[in-house]
Amino acid sequence: MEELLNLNSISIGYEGKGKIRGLNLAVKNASFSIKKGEIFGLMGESGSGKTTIGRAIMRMIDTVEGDITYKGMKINQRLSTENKRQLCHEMQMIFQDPMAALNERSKVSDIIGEGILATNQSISKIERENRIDKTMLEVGLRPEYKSRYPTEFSGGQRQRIGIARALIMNPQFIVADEPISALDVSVRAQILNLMKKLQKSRGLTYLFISHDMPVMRYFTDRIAVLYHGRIVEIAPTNELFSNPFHPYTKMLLSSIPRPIPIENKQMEERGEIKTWQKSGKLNSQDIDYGVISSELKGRETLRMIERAPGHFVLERIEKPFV
Amino acid sequence: MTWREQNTKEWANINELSSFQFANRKIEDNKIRDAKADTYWMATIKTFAKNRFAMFLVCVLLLLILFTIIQPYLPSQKDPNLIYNSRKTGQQIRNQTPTKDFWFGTNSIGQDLWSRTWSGARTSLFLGIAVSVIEAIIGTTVGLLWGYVRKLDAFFTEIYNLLDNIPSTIVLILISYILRPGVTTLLLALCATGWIQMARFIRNQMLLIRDKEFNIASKMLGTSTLRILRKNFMPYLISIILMRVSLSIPSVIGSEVFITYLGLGLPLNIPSLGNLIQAGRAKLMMPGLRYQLLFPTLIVSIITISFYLIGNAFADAADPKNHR
Repeated sequence: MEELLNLNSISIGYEGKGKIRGLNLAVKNASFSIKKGEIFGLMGESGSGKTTIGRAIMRMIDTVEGDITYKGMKINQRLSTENKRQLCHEMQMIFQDPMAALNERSKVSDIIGEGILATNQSISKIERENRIDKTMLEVGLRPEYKSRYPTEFSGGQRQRIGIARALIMNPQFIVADEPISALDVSVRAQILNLMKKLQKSRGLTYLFISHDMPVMRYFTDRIAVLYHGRIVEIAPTNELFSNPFHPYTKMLLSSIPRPIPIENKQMEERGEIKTWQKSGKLNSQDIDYGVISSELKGRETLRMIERAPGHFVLERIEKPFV
Repeated sequence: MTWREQNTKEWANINELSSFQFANRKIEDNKIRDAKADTYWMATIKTFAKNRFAMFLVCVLLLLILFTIIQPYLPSQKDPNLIYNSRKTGQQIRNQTPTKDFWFGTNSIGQDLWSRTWSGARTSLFLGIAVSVIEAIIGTTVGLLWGYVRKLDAFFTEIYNLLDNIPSTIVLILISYILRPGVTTLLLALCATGWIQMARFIRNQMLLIRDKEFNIASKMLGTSTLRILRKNFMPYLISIILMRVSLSIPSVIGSEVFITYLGLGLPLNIPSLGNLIQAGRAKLMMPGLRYQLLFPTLIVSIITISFYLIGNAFADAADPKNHR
């Protein structure tokens, strides 16, 4: 399968003190590639940079270094209007909170039709309305609802509107930024099944961002685990859940609630707290990423190493002589 | 099978048959009430029009404005600046209480208050509406830039600190040194200080809306910035703009008095509601002459209350939850 999206050692930073970019790196040296037609998951605790990566792919945040290539075109740079329009039709995003992601003072038809109105003025009004109707039916909304306002809908219906807004552009790649975490448990399955159905019927590729591990296990093909802005493990889903290598992944998987309350949790073995609690300040050096840690202090570097076919783990290795 | 069981079963069977049947209808036949096919702005205006009281106030205001415009052309109107002398004594008709000749009475030098009140209302309404509209345009433009463009935020904040800390009295005195008094100067002086407050109001509201996810979504869909401002921001800002405008009209009428006191205001031959109230206030202690304060105050009250309530009603109508 061909690669659709490729991230090559991306670092993303928010403005720090003195307005020097790159002081506060939210994501450090993240590299992965997404194949066409697969569902790629980004997993990690809150604050680990999942959403940041998603928004950087959607070109909402500037990257500090590294390349993001989509179909061989570098997209994290200034693009021409033509390329921007093309990217609008290629990549879209589904948002986390369906309450905040829809403009409450605009009608559903305006929300869904916004994309084609903005990027393709040649489409006539009748055809636009037809496409809105078709997309609404596709996500399971009745076209009669289109002159209503988002406040008149439930959370699940609003998320469907959000999906329709992305779908009407006929995208090939969709960044789904925690699309179900704000929803009711009973609606989650509906939305997930809808997304899966759309993936089959349209051949979509998803970047699925979530911290909900059972959902990731059900939904995704491959998963990257993020920890404090670094990708610590990339593996096919089944492989990751059955055979995790990295201690952080093990800890994360052990935090899935199980109906056995006595079971000893690895959660308490978190190493990173000790050092920064002493100094009162959290440095990126204090966070222990590696499997091998203490012996190579000062001479080590971080590398992704393939432990099993397709299963990459971030490890501390000895620095090669330059 | 007992009698009770048999009875229950029959009852259930009959009900099942009669109440659960296939409707044999398509979903398309079930038409949903679909009255709101208008755009957001049309729906807003229609909701506003349904508010009887607000529409009544709009009519009152329109009639008031219309009357101030056509009043000088009506028959048997007096000149607002002419001083009337008594035919018998040859003296000025001072402080005449309302009569058949002078409907609102005369003031302390014998000018007709009826025509002075309407002439003043004309000046004050023109000034108030013009100043608040100019303020709204400049303030909204600056506020949109200030709130939307992150890089301009610090720049505009410094400008705001600078301008807001200069007392407006000093600015007005400076302007009165440079320019000659008149309606245009007054317009300039009032606009020079008011817009920055408007801009701050807009900016604060923008900061609330700017980082919401639907703006990011609009950007990702390729919507241009102007369209984002128009479609995503304006519906939230319009109520604030209208409230500010409706509140600034009475405040302009008030501050015009103060500017006149500085010597920058209107010349004596142009009456305004501010001048009339100022003159009437001096007569407040004399119960027989209170009519001189009553009539201009009445007009100002009508203007102020109407604009305020209309602004409120429009702010309500701008919320789609009230579009019914």
